[in-house]
Amino acid sequence: MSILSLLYRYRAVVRSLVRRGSLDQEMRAEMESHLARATDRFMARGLSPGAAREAARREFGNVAVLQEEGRDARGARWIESVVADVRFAFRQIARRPLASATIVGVLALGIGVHAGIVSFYQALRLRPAAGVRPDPALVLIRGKQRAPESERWLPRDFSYPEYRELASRGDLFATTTAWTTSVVALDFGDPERATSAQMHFVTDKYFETAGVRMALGSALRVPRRADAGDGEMVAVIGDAMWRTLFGGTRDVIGRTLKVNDALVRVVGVAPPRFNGFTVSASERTMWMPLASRATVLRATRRALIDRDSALLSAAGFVAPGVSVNQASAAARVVSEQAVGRMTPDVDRRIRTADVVPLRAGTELPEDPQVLFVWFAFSLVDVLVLVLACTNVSALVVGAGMARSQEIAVRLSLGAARARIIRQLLTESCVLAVAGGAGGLALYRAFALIAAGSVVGIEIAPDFATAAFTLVIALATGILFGLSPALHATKTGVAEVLKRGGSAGGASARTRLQSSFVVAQIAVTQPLLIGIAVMLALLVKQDQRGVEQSVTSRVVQIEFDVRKIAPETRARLHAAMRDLQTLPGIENVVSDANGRELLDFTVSAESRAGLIRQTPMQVHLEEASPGYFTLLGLPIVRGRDLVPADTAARDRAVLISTDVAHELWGNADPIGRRFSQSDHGKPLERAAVVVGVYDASRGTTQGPGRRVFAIDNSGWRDFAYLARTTGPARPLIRPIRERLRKTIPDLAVENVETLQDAFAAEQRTMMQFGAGIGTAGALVLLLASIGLYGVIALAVTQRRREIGIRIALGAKPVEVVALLFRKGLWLSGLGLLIGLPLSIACLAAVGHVMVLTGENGALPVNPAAIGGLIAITVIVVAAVATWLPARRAAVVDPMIALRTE
Amino acid sequence: MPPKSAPLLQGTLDLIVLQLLRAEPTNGYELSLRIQATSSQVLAVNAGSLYPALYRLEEKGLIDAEWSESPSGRKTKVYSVTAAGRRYLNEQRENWERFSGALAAILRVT
Repeated sequence: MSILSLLYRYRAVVRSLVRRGSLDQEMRAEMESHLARATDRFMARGLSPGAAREAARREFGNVAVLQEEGRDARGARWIESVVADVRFAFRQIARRPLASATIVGVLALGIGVHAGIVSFYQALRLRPAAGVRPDPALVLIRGKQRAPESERWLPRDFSYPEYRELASRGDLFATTTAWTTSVVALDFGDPERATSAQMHFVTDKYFETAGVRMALGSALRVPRRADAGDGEMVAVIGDAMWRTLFGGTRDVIGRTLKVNDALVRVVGVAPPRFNGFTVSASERTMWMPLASRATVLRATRRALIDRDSALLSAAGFVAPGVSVNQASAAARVVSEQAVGRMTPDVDRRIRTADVVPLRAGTELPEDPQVLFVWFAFSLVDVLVLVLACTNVSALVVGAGMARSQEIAVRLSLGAARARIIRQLLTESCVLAVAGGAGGLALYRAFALIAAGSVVGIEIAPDFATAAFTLVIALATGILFGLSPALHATKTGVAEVLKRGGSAGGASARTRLQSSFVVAQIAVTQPLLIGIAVMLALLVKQDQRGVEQSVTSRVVQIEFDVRKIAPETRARLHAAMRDLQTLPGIENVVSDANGRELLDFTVSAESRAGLIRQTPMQVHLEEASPGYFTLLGLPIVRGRDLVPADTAARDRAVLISTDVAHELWGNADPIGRRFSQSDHGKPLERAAVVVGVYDASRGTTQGPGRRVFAIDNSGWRDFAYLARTTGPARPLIRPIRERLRKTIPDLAVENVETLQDAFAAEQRTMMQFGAGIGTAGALVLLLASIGLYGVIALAVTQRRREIGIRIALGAKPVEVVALLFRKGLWLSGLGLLIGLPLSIACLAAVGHVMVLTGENGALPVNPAAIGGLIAITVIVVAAVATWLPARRAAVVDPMIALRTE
Repeated sequence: MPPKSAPLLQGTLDLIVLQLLRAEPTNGYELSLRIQATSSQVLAVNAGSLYPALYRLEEKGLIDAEWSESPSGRKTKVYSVTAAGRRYLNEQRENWERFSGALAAILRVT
C-alpha cells in the first residue's frame, strides 16, 4: 500500500470518527437521491408514481442491507459498536454504583502503586536530575578508575587539562561543561545567620548545557579558559537559598556576600528545583566561575594546571550524528592518552573515561544491587497488580457484573459469544481506565505532598507516565475481565437458564478465588510483621535518648567538612580548646562517631565466669575523655578514658553495663581482655576494659553493642558537643561568634542544642513511620477487599442452597454464621501458611539489622507482634466477611427457588 | 426486460467503476446508468450495490468524492479517480489483459 493511500485510509477513519453521524446522513441522502431520480425515470416511462417507486426500489436492491454494507465498507462499523459497547458499559456500571466504586478504588490503589514505581524509575534511570532539561543528546562524561585486581569501577574526577582535551573534540561533543563542588562558609555579618553552602565552580556553557534560564538576574559570564587569570567574584544562587536566606526579594541581585571571607556579588538566581547536574539535596547551592575557585578556597591556582589533580566532573551534548557509544569509545581513547601524561602512580590504577546518557542515577559504582532493588520493585509492582486483578475479578463476579443469566438469554437469542465477551471486556476496561485515572490522581497527590521531601529528582508524573499507566490499566482491565467473561459465556445456555443463573460451574471458580485469598493473606502477614517490626524499631530508637535535663544543656556543633588537611585539623582542635574558655561552657568534647565494626574475643585469661561465648561483633567508637560525664552518663565501674590511653600498649575500652552483664553477669569486668579482629583479620593490639558506663541512660548515637576507645589518630571527626552550665540555647550565638573569629574559613554546618537535634530526628522518624504504617494499612485493605469479594461471590453463587436451607427452617443467623465461618477459615488458613514466611521475614530483618549495625537481637518480642498481627488480620477478615455474609440472611427462599 | 444477464465476476465491479470514473467524474446514479448502458445491460448490477463499492474505493483512497449541485438543482456527490486510483487501474488492467489473453489462447487451442 502506498503512503498516499495509507494517508487516505487514515483520513477516512478519522473522518468517520469525527463525522460519524453526518457520514451516515450523507450516505442516506445519496441513496435517497438515487431512488428519487430512478423514480423520475420510471415515471417518465409512464408508470404511476407508486409503481415507479416500486420499480426503482427493485432496481436498487435492499436499502437497509446496502446501508449496512456501506458502513462496513467505510470501516466505521467497529467504531459504532465500540461506542455502543462503552455506552452499555456505563449503564451497567451505573446500575451498581457501590460495587463499581469499590472496584475502581481497588484498581486505583494497585495502579497508583504502579504509577509510583514507574515514576521513580523514570526519575532515576530515565530523566536527568531535577531542573535539568531532558535531551537525548545530553550526556555525562564520566571519569572512572579501578585497581588492577578489581572489577569494580569507581568514579574519578578529571584534571582541567584532561577536560580541555575532551572538550576540544568538537567532532564528538557539540557542547561541554565541567564543574567542581566545595562547601563554603557564608557570612552575613550576623553569627546567628552564618551557615554553609554548596558551591559549584563551573566552566563556560554550564547553564546552557543544563537548559537552565535564570529566574532572576543574568547567568554567569564565564571566560572560556579557567586557567587564564583570576575569575570574577560573582555568583548565581539557588532558588531555595534565595527564599530561605533572602526571603525571595528581587533586590538580591547586586548584593554582596561574604563567602569564605571573600566578597562575592550575586548576579542571578537559578530557577526552582535546579541544583546542578547531579542529584543533590542541598538547601543552599551557589555557582561561581571555575577561575574564581582559587581565591574563594584560598588554594593555589596550580590545581587548574596540574595534570595530576582530580577536580572536575563533566557533561555535554554529543555532536549531531554521533551516538553515545561512539562518543564513549572515542572519549576513552582521549582520556587514556591524557592519563598517560600524568605522573606515574604507585598504585597503578587503571584510569579511563566513558560517556553515558545523563540521568539522575548514573553514578559509579554500577552496583548489581541497584538492579536487584529495581527487580524487587518490579516484583512488588506485578504482585500488587495481580492482587488487585484477582480481587477485582472476584468483585466483578460477586457483584453479579458478569451476569450469567442475562448472558445466557442473549446467547440463546443468537448473540455471538465473541460479541458478548467483547462487551464484558469493554465494561472491565472502562472500570480499569477509571481506576487508572484514579491511581494516577492518587500518585499525583502523593508526588505533590512528597515534592518537598524528595529533592533532586523529578518524581511528578508526566505524559509518558500517564501513557504507560493507561496501557497498564487497559492490560489490567483485560486481565481481570477476561476470566469472568469467559466463564460467564462458557456455561451451557440451557443449564444456566434452568438454574436461574445461580451456580453455573461455580465450585471450581470459588475454589480458585478462595485460594487467591488464602495466598493474599499468607503474603500479607509477613509484610505486616516486617512493617510492625520496623515501626517498633523506630519507636524503640526514640526512647533511647539521653534525658532531657541533659540534652537541653548540650550544644552540638557540626562542621560541613569532608576532606580536611592535617593543619586544618589542628586549627579546629585549637578552636575547640578556645571554645572551652567561653563563659557558660563547661566542657567541649568530640562527638562519638566513626564506627568500626570489629570482632571481640575474650582472651583466655579473662574467661573466668564467662556467660556468653565469643567472638561477638562490636562497634568500636571514638570517645574523648569527658564524653560520658558530659552526657550525664555515669561511669559505674572503673574509670573514664584519659589522654594517656592513646599511648598505652593495649587499647583501653569502655563498655556498657549491657555488654558487661551479657559477658560476665555481675562479676567485675575491669581488667578483662579481648583479642580483636577486623573481618577475620586479627589485630595486633588487645583491648582491655578500663571502665563500664551506665547503658540504661542512653548515648547520642544509635543502638548496637558498642565499645568506646580513644583513637590514636586523634580528633578525626567534625562534630563536637559542648556542655553548658545553664540552658544551652542562649549560648548558640556566642559560640557562633567565637568560631567566626577563630576559624572564619571553615563552614559551620549546624549549631543547635542536642534537644532540638533529637526533636528534628524524631520528626523525621515519625514521618517515615507514618509512611510505613500507611503502606501496611493499604496491604491490609487490599487483602480484606479480596476476602469481601470471595464471600460476596459465595453468597451470590449459593443463593439457591441458602434459599433451601431457609425454606427448611434454618435461621438467617445460622446461614450468616455458615458463611462467616468460611471467611474465618480462609483467613486462618492464610495465616497458617504465612507463618513460615513470617519467620523467614523476621530472620531477614535480623540479618539486615546486623548489617546496619544493630546487634541482631530484635528489640521487640516477635511472638507478641505476630500475635497482634494475627488478631488484626482476623478482626479485619471478620468485618470483611460479615458485610457480604449479612446479605445471605435476607435471601427470600421464594425468589431463590422459583426457577426450580 | 433486459437481455439475458451474466453474473458479475468477483472484483470486477471495482475495475468497472474506476474505468468509468476515469473517463468522466460523475455521481452514483449516472454511474449506474452508464454501467448498464456500456455493458449493453449484460452485466447485472443491482444499482444499489454500487454504493458499498464506491465507499470501499473511497476509503482505500482510489477515488475521491465531492458534493456539488447538478444542473437540475439537486445536490449530488460527484466521484473522481485519484492518482493512486489511476495507478491501481493500470495495474489491474494489465493483469486482466494478461489473464484474459491467456484464457483466450487456452480456449482457442482446445
